[in-house]
Parts: sequence; structure tokens; C-alpha cells
Amino acid sequence: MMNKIKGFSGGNIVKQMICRAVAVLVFILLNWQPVIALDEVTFKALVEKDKIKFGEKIQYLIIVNFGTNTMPPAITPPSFLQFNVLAENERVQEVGEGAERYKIMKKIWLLEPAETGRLSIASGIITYQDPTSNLLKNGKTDVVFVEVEPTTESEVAKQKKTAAADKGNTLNAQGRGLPVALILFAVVAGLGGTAVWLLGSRKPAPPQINHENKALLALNEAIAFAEADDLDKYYAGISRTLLDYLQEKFGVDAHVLSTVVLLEKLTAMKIPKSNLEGLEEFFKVADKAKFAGFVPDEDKMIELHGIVKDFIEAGRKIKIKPPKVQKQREDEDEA
Amino acid sequence: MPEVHELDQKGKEMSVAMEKIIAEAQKVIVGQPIMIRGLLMGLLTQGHILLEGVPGLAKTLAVMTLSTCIQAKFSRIQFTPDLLPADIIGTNIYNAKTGEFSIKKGPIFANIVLADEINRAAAKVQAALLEAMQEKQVTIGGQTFKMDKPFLVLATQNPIESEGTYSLPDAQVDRFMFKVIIGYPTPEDEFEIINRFTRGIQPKAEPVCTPEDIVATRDSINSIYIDDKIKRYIVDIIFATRYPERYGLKIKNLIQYGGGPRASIYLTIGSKGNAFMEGRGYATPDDVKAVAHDVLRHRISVSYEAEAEEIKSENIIDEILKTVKVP
Repeated sequence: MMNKIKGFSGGNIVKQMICRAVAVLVFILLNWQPVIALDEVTFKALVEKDKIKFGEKIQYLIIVNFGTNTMPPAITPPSFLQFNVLAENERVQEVGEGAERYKIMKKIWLLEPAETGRLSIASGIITYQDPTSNLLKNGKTDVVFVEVEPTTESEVAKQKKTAAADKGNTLNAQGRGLPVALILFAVVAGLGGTAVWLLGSRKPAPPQINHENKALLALNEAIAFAEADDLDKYYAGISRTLLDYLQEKFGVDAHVLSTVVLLEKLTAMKIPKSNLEGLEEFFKVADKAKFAGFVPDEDKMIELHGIVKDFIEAGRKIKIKPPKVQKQREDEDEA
Repeated sequence: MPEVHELDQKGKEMSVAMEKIIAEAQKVIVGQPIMIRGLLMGLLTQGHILLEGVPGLAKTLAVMTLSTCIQAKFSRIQFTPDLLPADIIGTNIYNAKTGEFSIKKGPIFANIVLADEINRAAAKVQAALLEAMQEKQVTIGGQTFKMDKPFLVLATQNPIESEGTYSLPDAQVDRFMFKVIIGYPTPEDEFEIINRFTRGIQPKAEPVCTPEDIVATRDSINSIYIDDKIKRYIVDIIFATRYPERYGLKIKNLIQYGGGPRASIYLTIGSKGNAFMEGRGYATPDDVKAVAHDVLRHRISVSYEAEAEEIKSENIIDEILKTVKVP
């Protein structure tokens, strides 16, 4: 009886269970779809083609996937140093259903290469709200490379002409004898070598830092403290951003200057008075918050944040050659 | 944490009264805003002031005008080499008729005392005055008398005549809260001085408030909030005068000795006073900077090396304020 039961039910039940498990697994695998989890934000940068010809246009995209319950991310574009930006566009669409709904933000730039060779597009910066911590975070996209081949008519004609000239020279050299050919070969080789050496030794221009973009990014980071109700850190964050920006852009030793001295220096640099008025108000309230525990209401906070943002944005138009603070200090020390 | 709005409001109200005093004083004094502000600050923060400037810069006139504005009792003592301590503080006088001793109080018993050319009197006279300044009381013939309130001593020094003078020892100079340097007026001010003082009519200031108002104002200044960050900033500044190398300053060889704890105290009180004058209920690093020169210039002793290079304490303070990180 026992054997019967054992022989009958034990083996079959195990087999049935394994069969069912396999079936479920196959079903899951067959029905698997890439689902964007709502608890993370993903992004990538890409170009539509890896290789293009000079004069041809190319699309550069940054795609960000984010949950419907988080705030839309901000995309700070990369500096397109080797391209001309012809147009840009942004669109957001919602996909998925029910709890798996999410949004796709696509930012597209239409670019035209400014030179030939292996060109690069630097990282774009994505400022997004982390769904798990609700804090603002920054992410960088990968650097993208595009191979641009020379194809303009003039360049092709030039190439043909050079080839023809080389051919003619060779023919002439053959007619006049070996010494002439050798001399011509040496001249051509010498010129070619010099050209290669010149091209090789040409250092790429150092990337230009955009102080405004950097400052705005840091300003966004400071919002996280405000959202966490840590106003002390929020003001410190904004203040630090502003001081860093003033130091880097205008070359003033903003961190060791008090409000009055700082404003005097900026006024002396002929920064428009209208820009500084807002800044004065900001420093006044920030001092009050920092040194007297004053807590501004939400409206005031937004106003102050706006003041700093406006000042930084307006700074794009101001072209000032920063004085060499460090050098000046060293000179003073030596003196 | 203080009620910042209340303090701010109070500060604004009180600073209006101060503006009135300044406006009234300027009816008589042309220019010299630093001196007038310094005098008021001393009056409000209970700090005595050492005024330094060449003759004829209206030092005495400014002090007299200020006492008129606040209806204070004013006395002036001209310091000379033959002056005795009793000439300042007073003495016991024997009355032959009654056969009794009676106390005759000296000129120090006033609200505002102008000690003119303090460095012309001998050390014991200077010491008598400075002791009264510190203790705010005087003992004559075994009897102790409290000084009037407010009590402010303004001492003047002439920097260009050193012959026949007894320069104040550093320990005694330290008792003055501020050392205010008075400079020459601007060409515009000089022009106005000619206009105002050559018409045969002496301009006069009118009383604006009472000594009691000044005492009440002092209480408001005491309630001005000064954050720990500011206090640390003050400590950093004072420590930078003592150990400049800790703050990355290469001026160690220029300083003989730096400010003492009294410098920290006066810098704190002075910052509060400046905040009050600005109509604020709290102090900021700018307040510290605004009074740093007046508080520190007589407390930093420069070395022979600095003197040889014509570097003054002012230059050292500038360098320290430039380097010490603002909170």
C-alpha cells in the first residue's frame, strides 16, 4: 500500500510540479517586456549615425525615461564645440499602462560638423528627482563620437589636383633621370613630413568652461536642502554657488569678502546696477538668515532663488577678463 | 534665537534718533563723518575713545557739540606736564572757618570728559584718569564716588609733536575701546568751513535728546543679537593678529604682539554698535569689519622690521581682514 502510494503519487507529483514550473517560466520568458521601473530614472545620449560626410547634418538625442510621479528632469546640453547647432527640439510622451506608466523626454539637436575627423560631443547633464529619496541628483551622459569625412567639392578637387601633380612630377622625373626624381621625392616627402608634424603638434584648444551652466547646476542642487527643510544648508548652498560663480567669472575673492566689500568690488567692475540691486537684496536676507536665524517664507525663498538665477543668467552677457587673483597675491607675498 | 523682526524694528526706531544727533552735529561740524560716528559709537557702547589727529581738525568742537546735542555735562582738561592727579579727580579741602575737610570733585565728574593732549601729562596723572575710566568710580579721601551715567572719556593725541610728551604705555592704550584717526577735510568740506566760520556768526547745535535716552539706548544695543559664527570670526581675526601663520599669513615678523582678550570684547561690542547704527537687530561680518580698524590699530604692536619698512598696524589689519575667511 505504502509502495503503491509512493510509486504512484510521489514520482508523478514531482514531475507535474517541474512541468508546471517550466511552463510558467516559458510563459514568463515569452511574455517578458522591458519594463521601466518607476523607482529609477534612466538616460542616454546617441547620434543617428556614427559616420557622416562633411556638410551632412546629424541628429544628436538625449533620451530620459522617468516616472510620472516625479518632476520632469532638466537637461543641460553639452558644449557642441566641433559642431554648429542648427535647431533643437524637445518633446515628452507618456507610455505604458496602469502602474507601469512612465514618461520619455527626448531632446534633439540638429547639428552640422564644423570640421572633419573624429569629432566628439561632450556629456550632457541631467538633473532629475530621484524617486526613492526625492532628492535632486545629477547624471552625465556618455561622450559620443562621430567620424566626419571630407567630401566638399573643393576638397575633392584639391585631392585630385594633388594626385595629378604627384603623377606629373613622377613622369617628369622618369624622363629626366633618377637624380631629379630623387630630389623631387625628397622635397615632396619633406613637405609631407612637415605637414604631418605640424598637424600632429597642434594641440586641441582647451575646453571652455561655461560658468553660468556650472553655477545653475549647483543652484539646482541646493534646492534639495530646501525641500528637506534644511534652510541653513540651503542658504549656504546658494551662497556658495553665488560666491563660486563670482570668483570664477569675475575673479573676485568672494569667499573672503563680506557683503559690502563684495558689492563695492562688483560695482567697480561696472556690472550693471540693475543686476546688483537684486543681489544686494539677496545678501541682506541671506545674512539675516545666516546670522540671526531668520526664516523666510516660501515666497521669499522662491524670490531669492530667482534673484540669484537671474543674476547668473544675466552674467552670460557680461564679458569680463578675470584678474589673476592668485598671481597678484603671490606678487604681494613676495613684496 | 532672537526675535529678529522685533530687534530690527527697535534698531530702526533708535537709529532714527542717532541720525538726528548726527544731523544736528553737522550743523556745526563740517565733514568728519568718521569722527562723529566714532564719538557716537563710543557713547552708545560705553567705550572710551582715543582721538588722534593734527591740531585744528575740530576735535574739541566735535566733542562739545556732541555734549550739547545730548544735553550732557561736559568738561575739558588740558593735560600739561605739571598736572597732578588731584587736579583731575578732585581732592579734600580743609575749611579753616569750619575746621572741617570737604571734598571738591574734579573735572572728571562729567558725562563727557575731553582729555586734551593726554600724552603731555606725567604717567601718574594718566594712570589716575585711566583707572577712573576702567573702574567708573573715583576714591577721594577714603570716600568712593560713582561716575555719572553716561560717562565717556575722549582723549586726544597729537601725532606730530613728540618732544616733551609721555607716550601712553600699551597697557593703558588698551583701555580705550577705539582709536579714531582724524584726517584732513576734503576740498569741498574745506570750502564749506570757510563759508561757515567767516561770517561772524558761530553755528550752534540744539539739544536732540537727554543723557537718559542714551542710557536707554545702551540697553537696546546690549540686546542686539550676535551669532556664534560672528563670534568665531572675531576670534579668528584676533588670533590672526597673534598667530598669523595659522591663517596662511606671512606677516609674523611684522608683528611684535597682537590683540588681547579686550580686543575680542571690544570688537564684539563695537560690531553690535555698528549694527545698531545701521538700524539692524543683528550683527554681520560687515559690522566686524567696519569697526576692526578702530578697535585694533592701537592694539597691534608692529616690530622694528615693520617700522623700517614703513608698515603700520593699519596695513596688517587690512591683510588680516582680507585673508581671514568670512563666515
